[in-house]
Amino acid sequence: MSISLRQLLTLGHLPGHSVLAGASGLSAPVHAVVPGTTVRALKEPAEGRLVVFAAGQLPLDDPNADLAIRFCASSGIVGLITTPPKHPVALSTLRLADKYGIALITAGSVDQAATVTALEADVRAPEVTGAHRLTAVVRQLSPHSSDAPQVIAVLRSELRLPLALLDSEGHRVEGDESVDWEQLTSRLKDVLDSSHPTERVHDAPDGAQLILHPVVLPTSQRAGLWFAAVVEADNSAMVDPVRHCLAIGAWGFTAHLATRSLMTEVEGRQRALLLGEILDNAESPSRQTVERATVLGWRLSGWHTVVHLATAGGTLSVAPAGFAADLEAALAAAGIVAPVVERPDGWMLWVTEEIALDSADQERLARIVRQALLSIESEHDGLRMCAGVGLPAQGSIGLGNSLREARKASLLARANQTMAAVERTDPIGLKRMLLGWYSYGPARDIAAEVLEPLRAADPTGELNRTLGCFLDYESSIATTAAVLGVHRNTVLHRLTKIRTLLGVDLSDPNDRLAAHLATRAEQLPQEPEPDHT
Amino acid sequence: MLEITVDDVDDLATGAAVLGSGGGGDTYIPTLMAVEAITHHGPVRVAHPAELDPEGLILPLGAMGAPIALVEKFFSGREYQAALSVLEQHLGRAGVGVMPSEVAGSAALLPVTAAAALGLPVVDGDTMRRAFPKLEMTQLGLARIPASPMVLVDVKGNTVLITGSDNEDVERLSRAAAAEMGMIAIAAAYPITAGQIDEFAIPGSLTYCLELGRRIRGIDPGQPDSYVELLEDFDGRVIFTGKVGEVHRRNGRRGPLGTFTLEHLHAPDRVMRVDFQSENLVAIEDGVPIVTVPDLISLVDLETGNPLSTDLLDYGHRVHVLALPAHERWHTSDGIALVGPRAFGYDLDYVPFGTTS
Amino acid sequence: MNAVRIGIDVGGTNTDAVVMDSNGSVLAWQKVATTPGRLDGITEALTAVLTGVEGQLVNQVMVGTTHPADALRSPQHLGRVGVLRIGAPATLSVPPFTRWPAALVEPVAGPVAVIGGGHEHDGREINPLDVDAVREFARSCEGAVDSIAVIGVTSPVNTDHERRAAAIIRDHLGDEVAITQGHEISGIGLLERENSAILNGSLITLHRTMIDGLFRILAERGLSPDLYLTQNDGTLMSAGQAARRPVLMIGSGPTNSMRGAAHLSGLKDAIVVDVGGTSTDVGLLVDGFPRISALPVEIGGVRTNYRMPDLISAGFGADSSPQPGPANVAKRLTALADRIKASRGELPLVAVGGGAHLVPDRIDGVSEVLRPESVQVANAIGAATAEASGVVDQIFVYDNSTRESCLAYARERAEEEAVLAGADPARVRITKLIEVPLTYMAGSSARVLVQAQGPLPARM
Repeated sequence: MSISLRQLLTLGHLPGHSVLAGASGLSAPVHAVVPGTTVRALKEPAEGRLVVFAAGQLPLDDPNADLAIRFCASSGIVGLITTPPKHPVALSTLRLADKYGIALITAGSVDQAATVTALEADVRAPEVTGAHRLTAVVRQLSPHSSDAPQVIAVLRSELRLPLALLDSEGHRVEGDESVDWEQLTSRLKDVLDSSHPTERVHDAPDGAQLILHPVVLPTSQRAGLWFAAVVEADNSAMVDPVRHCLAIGAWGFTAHLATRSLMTEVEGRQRALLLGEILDNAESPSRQTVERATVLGWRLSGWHTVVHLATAGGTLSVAPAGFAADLEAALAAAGIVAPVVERPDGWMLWVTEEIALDSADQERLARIVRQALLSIESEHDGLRMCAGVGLPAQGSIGLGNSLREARKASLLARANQTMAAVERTDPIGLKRMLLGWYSYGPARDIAAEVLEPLRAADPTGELNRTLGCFLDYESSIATTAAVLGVHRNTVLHRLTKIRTLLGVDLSDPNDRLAAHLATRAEQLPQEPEPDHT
Repeated sequence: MLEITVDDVDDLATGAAVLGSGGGGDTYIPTLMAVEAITHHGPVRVAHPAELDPEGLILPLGAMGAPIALVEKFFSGREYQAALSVLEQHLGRAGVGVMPSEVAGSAALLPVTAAAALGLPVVDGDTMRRAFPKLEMTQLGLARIPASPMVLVDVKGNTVLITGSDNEDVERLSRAAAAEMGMIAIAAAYPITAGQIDEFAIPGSLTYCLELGRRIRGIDPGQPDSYVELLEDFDGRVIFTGKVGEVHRRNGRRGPLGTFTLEHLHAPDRVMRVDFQSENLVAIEDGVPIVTVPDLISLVDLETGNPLSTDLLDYGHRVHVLALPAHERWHTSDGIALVGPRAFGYDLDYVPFGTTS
Repeated sequence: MNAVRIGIDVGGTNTDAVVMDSNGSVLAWQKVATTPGRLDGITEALTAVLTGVEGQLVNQVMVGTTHPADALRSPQHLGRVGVLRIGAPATLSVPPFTRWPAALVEPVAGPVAVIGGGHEHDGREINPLDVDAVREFARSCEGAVDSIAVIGVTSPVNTDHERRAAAIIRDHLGDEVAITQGHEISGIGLLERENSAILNGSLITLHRTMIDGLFRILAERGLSPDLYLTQNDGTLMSAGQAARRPVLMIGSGPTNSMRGAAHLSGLKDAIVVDVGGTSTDVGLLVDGFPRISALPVEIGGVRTNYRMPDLISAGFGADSSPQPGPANVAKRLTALADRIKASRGELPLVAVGGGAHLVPDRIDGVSEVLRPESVQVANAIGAATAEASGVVDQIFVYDNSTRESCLAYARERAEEEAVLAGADPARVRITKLIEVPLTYMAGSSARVLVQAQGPLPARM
């Protein structure tokens, strides 16, 4: 049994190595690993040898590198390992290595003797390495520290091949981006969604093999997630070790999921119930209520400032599981300790202080919440969140009052086109005036009528969104293009179309304001705000 | 009697650019200087060494410093007289002729200008018949003739006389002096007598350079095989025709150095690398050294036929790579030791010219 | 109220005008035939695009024009120039006007003097300025010249001698005789700078007439915008400055066309193919600007060192007959595109000019072919969207101070120059930094060329 150069490199004896050129040589079998001496010595016949040079012995940025490759080509050497050169390697050297399939490998620090000894051992007995890996994976996994990134990291450090955690439609949840997993699993929908999921090995392009291992939670039959790995054709000796390691990884990950989902679910439900009791009996909360709140670290006296959060009509209408915990963690990282509790219409969080937060503090809170939402949005494609910050109010009654303010503010935020919009309750009332206007039925009808030509021309709403965005961002085409994720020419084109369709002059202040109000009213939820006292 | 007239100057400049092997400095200003001097003083007589008093002083002349400085602060035309006077006085001999230190780049033209101004003949010879970066890399250095006494003259007429027994010391001191003289100075080193030229210098270099330039300028670069006949006459070859695919250039201790990679125009898997240090020094194709210093590697533009210096070459240039053998006096083991690949830090053996293809 | 700007490109064949708003959108454009005096064509194009634009909104007008280049082809209109070179004894071996075409020397050459003075590359004096010789030169020019060119050795590094000599000459001859100083005109390369300064002097009178005409045309329409001219490198110079430096405007056409292509396509790195009536120019946009030729550029047969776009021309155009077939055009453009590229890898291609439709959709080595709207007037759009710039071109010896501090100094100076030229200080950025180590010198010296650039401040 022989081992290929590629397999040899996956064994971890050359940390941080890179293959500069001659990648086709990686498939060649390695028969022996020997220390290098001089360039001329490479002329000696040495079929299937890998030559390891000591630091500085073979500078690849020197003309001699070209001679070395040429000698390797005639002597049968499959690859050269050396330290990275000081200066860039000439294109001619790289082209030559590619032409003759001589792998040029550099690693930061090559201890010549130790590297030769270690690689040579693997060349002589490749099958021993599989068993070592399995024990290493088992040792590193535990139910408390086996979330998806960690499991993937452990598997990758041992197996050194493309790995991912996929959902039941083949989308990558975690792991290597270099592989098009969706494409690879496109014909395996039935397998991924099977009612009796089991480990599978499938053929992949170029003779490679795709190994899939299901993650099945005790509560369900189907596999919600799969561990997947790709083993290249010339690495087929790895198939069994990979299968075993994936199985261990999946086991560890399942245990971790089960523990975690139980804890968050129980705690979240308790907190929602308790908050409901506090809000319902704000005038005289019972002793038990106060005690349970204290256990959770909530203080009912003092000044509360409430933030109300909701999803804001992105393509993803449901917030991801664990949202509350993620948000709490993000706020804690910014120095704000606040409970996040799920509510029928979103979430609420609040901070409690001895004295009321002043305007600057409220602004800071709004900013931190926005940062937290932005980072959560960025992790979930299509998710749009919005939030409103209420005015500070005192005692358990104040908690409810601040919440009402916060909900109104979040409604305003929702009309905004920005990502992670956060609005503060505006004590002066300008925004309240707008809120009144937005929710005034006839005004909405007018808005609908004004924008009707856009809807008629473009049922997808792209034009409408472009206009709203353009007006929100002070008529900046560049920003609009960036927010919508389209080319600036596209924005220009759409604006021309919008001008024609609406017959408005966006440089006229009156036309502009009308169009802006109409887009804002249009973007509000259809059901009337229930709490307009 | 051979004379250099205004009409010969462009031929001389072109020959000097090819012999510069990518270095030697731009010839534009020295060309103008030579034309002006000849226009003013009349044609310059080219003397064979045997025509001159064997005991007479010969002034091997060139410039020292950064050739780029010439584009801003070029010479007054009066420096040569100062150089000659200092050496004549120091050595107690009368000057009988001016000789190019190298018939390459700007140094091929300055002696013609000097000869015109001094009313002396220019000697048909030089010390290397190409360009080299170090003062000791001359045939005279090879023959253990000291570079000293050496004279440097700046545009203001300031002179520095350097005497010393070690050529490397003289080189170090002269570079320091040239830098202080505003980066460029007229330099006269290795003062010899006319009688020494035949034995220790390279006679015939000036007419060789003139003829090479005349023939190159006569070529119609658009024609295929247009270089064949010319190169046959000069024992040279076109070793590659390709496009510059990549340029690596960096600052070395003695100036810029680096590597060009050329991709063959008609055979995509043929790749040549040319390594340079001010001049092109080594050409390697497919891992096989084809031409090595001291033999000459010169890149000429495929369409215009113009020789290209290393500092102008860029991605996309289409070039012929011309190879010419160095003068036979460099092909001795001592010659290769002084100016072969190892003298420039390449761990390569010298490849006798024409032994690989 | 949104301010608008007008771009005008006066070519040999056509005069284009375009009105753009501050967002860079084209509001109106017009293409008319260029007229012999230039001004009539400009008037016509301007009148057409101004229909429906309120005059007060026009706050900036940018003009690119080829008339200085045209003037060199009919030398009888050129002015006579007295030439003072400061640097002797350095440079005495090659006098002014060397290798000039005789047809230009005859009308242009006035009194010539090469006098003591000048500077070394590090700014020290070679010799003190020979003040008496300056006075003598000034006297020799009395009544004999239309303008004067003053060129000092290494004046891009130290302008002192040029400035002092110019002041002395002005004392003698008064303000009527325009004085061109080398450092205002060009960078390193004495002969090239001298040639440029002389050409500049010979064009000054003609150029002033043109600029006065432009102001008059605008005033007749009740407009009082800031007027700029585009330079060879595609950046702007205020009309006041430009009136004294016509040679800097001599080759702005191709640059404007490429900058227009960059603006219209929104691309920063692309190949630009400008298909005109009889010929096609292929150039390269690097970071939004044309790649500049490394080789010296001759103007009217005179060697200069201007920064002109590196263009390759192909001998076919929209009006060629017979019209080359698409396969033929694709083949030729494939070769040209590969030649113009600065490195391996694919680039998009922007087709502009009247014959943009001749460019096929698929070209090897080209990732996509774009034909944005309004490409017919890309030149005028390039002018209207041009920026102000500043350049430093100098040799530094890193032994005297660290490389970092030299480069920082060069950057700062380039930025200052750009702001002086009209750039918005808040938006000035370094657009080019080239460091060339000097051959045959130790690695501690380099020629450094830095360009800074920024848009004009938006104003009402």
